[in-house]
Amino acid sequence: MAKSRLSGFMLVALVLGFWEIGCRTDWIDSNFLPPVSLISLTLMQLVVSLEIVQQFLITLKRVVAGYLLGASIGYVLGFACGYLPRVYHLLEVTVEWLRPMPSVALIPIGILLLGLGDPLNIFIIAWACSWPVFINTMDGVRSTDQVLLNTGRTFGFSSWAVVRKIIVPSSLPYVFSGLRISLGIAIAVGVIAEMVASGTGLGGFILNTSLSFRVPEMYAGIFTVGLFGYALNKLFLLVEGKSLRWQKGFLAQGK
Amino acid sequence: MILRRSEGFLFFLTLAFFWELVSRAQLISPLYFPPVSKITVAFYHLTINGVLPGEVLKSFTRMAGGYALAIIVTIPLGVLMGISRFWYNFLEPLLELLRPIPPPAIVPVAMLFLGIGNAMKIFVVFFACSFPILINTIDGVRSVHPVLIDTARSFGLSRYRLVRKVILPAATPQIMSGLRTSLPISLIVTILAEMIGSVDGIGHYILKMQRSFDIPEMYAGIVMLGIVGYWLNRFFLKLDRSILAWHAGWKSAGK
Repeated sequence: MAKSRLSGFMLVALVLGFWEIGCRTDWIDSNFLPPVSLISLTLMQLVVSLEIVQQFLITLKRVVAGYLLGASIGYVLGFACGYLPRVYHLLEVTVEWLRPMPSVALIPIGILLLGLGDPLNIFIIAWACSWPVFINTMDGVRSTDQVLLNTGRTFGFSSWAVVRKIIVPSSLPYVFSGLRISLGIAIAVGVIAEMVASGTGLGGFILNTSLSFRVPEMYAGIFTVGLFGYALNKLFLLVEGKSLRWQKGFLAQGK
Repeated sequence: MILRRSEGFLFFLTLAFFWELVSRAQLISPLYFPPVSKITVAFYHLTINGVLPGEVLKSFTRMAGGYALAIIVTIPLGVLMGISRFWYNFLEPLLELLRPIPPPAIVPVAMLFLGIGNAMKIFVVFFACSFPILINTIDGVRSVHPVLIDTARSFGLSRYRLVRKVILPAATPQIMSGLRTSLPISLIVTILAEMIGSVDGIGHYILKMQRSFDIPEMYAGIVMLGIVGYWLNRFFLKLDRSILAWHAGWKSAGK
């Protein structure tokens, strides 16, 4: 596995080398894109001085809280709408009108309602995170294989058993796909809210450094956010792999 | 069906009426949450004199540009990465490095290189939309049922025809789901880019109204955004249904 990905790591190394050399030879404007080495050095200083660590912890707290809240709401509503057509028809108009509402547009309202601190960030993140989970759960529940449902009914499953033993597991791949998208959105929207409103956290840090033209610090901030996203995603894949292990065997058997 | 939809509208109207009542009774501050009737009047005037449609059109053009670019670039890339182990291994580390970067964090960088014009917004939208489409395309291509591929191989289909006739159609539902996910993202990112660096567009307008404390106008802008998003979504669903018409029949036939 490590060997087969060698080509990919070589591409990354090539891009980074090209970047560094391009800056050193003034082929790239270092004011806009400082060399990788300078950005790494700046990042190290920011970590040692704890400046960026503090901002990171602020963002982490908001993202985790908002994500968990939004994902739970999205799952419950998505499941209800997918399983019970009546609930779907009741909520459809409201949901389809609210859903496309860009979360950024809610920030001004959020500020009026919740101020500039953590509650605003958590609210906006939860709002944005709930939709992908909602839609994927709904799609997953609806696209449960009819044969599986009929088989379950033939075996005399109660509707609760059908939900628990058939619909929940078979919709799980969809749900995870939604959860994974939401994870990226959680960080993105967290950064947005921090840029537009709070001015603290990693988003605030990136915007403030950019506005005061501390360009290496800005890139160090972007790198940190990227690393944060990467780590969260890896953690997520670990959980997903464990939860969906049965599915691989299921597909390999050709059902 | 019509009856069911009216149920949804009724629910929606009840919510609006509840807002009007609570605001009139001053249970919530009417300064921050003006009654729905006031917002409606503001919305009506701003639509008639062409302010809102003008701003929306500007935003929409930018959004559509970035979205289209993302589709053109990402779907072929995703199919390639889904089929070929080599290309997946080659590109995955670089993409994994870029993917966790939240699109809003790119806005300051894009502003450095591209200024605050249309190019910056189109680029940011492209960046933001690419990853959901890419992930869904790769996943979709990979999760094509092995039996389908084996069958096609047994019939001696060439690689090109295998992709066109079997893999692409089978992956379409998931690709469409990726497109659907990135549709609201494209709108969000457009609005954000307009809030942070722009002189026009609906995002800029909403923030300007909030800062000058023209709260009903701010809500009117947000309502306009909701309507635009709603119709965008409806249009997409129509498209989705006509493209995936075969899929519904295929599923109900019990495969």
